[in-house]
Amino acid sequence: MMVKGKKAVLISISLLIICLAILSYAVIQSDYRKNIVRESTEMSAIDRANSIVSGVQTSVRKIVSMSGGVNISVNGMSAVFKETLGSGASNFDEQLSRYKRFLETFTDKTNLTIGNSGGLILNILPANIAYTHPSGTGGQTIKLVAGSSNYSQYDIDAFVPGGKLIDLAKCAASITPGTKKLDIIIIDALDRSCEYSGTFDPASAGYVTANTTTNEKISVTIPAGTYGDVIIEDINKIGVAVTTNVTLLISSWTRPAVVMPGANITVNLSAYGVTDIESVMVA
Amino acid sequence: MSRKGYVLTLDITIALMIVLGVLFLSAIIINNAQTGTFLEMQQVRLANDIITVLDERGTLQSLNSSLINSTIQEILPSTFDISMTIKTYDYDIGSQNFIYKNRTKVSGVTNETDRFIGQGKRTFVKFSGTGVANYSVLEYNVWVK
Repeated sequence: MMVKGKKAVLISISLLIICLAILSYAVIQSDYRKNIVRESTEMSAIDRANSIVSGVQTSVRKIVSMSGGVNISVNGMSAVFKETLGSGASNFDEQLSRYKRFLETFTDKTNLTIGNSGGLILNILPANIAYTHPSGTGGQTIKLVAGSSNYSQYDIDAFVPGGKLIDLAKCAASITPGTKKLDIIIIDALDRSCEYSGTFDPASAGYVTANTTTNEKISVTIPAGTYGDVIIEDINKIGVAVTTNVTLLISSWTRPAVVMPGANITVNLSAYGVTDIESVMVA
Repeated sequence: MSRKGYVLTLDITIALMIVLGVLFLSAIIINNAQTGTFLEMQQVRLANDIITVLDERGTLQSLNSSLINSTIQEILPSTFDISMTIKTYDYDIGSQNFIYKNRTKVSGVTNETDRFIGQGKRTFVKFSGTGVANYSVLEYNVWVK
């Protein structure tokens, strides 16, 4: 009788343990799934913010392309800029400012910070090479300035369809060696003058080559540490279509990106505790 | 002896009720926690990708609901459906304000379900020459058919 009683107690305890185990499993599963729900809610909020940011990136890129007059893309390790120099003053700043007002009026909790005004300044990452327009977008000049040296070298290829380039070999011969600045002037074939300022000798250093057969292309190689600034200018102000390829030679496999320095998109979805700040990437 | 059997049956019944109760409670706890999965996130991401394609292609800028709808059906996986509303505004230079112009509605091929509906918002611009012709705000719903 005693033995039977012990057995019954054992069975009861076993059943109790099994029940507790099942209940514990259910509670653990419940907590786990609650965590998934919380995490997926946060990630959904990030996705919603990303949706807004993605729209802003596309719109800003189109404003840069249509109003700034510069078509920008990234191809492999090259940032490619297509534009017509001397095409006249652009309404880029006004268009960007209007878009900012529209965005902030019609999209709650979204703010577009524009880092600079008075011309389109772009930055090629990760080498921090500034691609600027000293006389404003639509002006006669493109200036490329290397801001840091986290690259082995970068190459600039400037194409002018129709053979409007000067013969750069002749120009290079007139330069006094020794400076760190290189100016390249791209002009129409009607006036085959050329000008370099500074004392960096691209010819002796072997940094500059030109396709003298078609006169359509200049290639400039800037090694790290030489701080070569490159100016491409339509000196006759007659309008020259230029395609500039900036190819980075860097040790990492980081793909180049073109951003507007100091410009940010902030999406604040406070209901979800999510604030997304992204730089304005145009390519 | 017959009383013993009665007590034993009652004992087993109560024990079974407790066990079944625990199992039932566990099932309820697990089921209640089963809302919100990564599939729902995928819906929003998918819709975001589709809208980005439409924006990049310039389809959205046409503000043509049948063109937008047919393009969506081309690229949207068949298990999902999307509806969207686009509100378009013109910029009035005189008052420097945005004036409401029109609304474009794009309906899905099925009715929205009572399941999870992912939502999102996006802005886009349409160009005329070198200036923005109009500004649009797009709101979308995405769901599993």
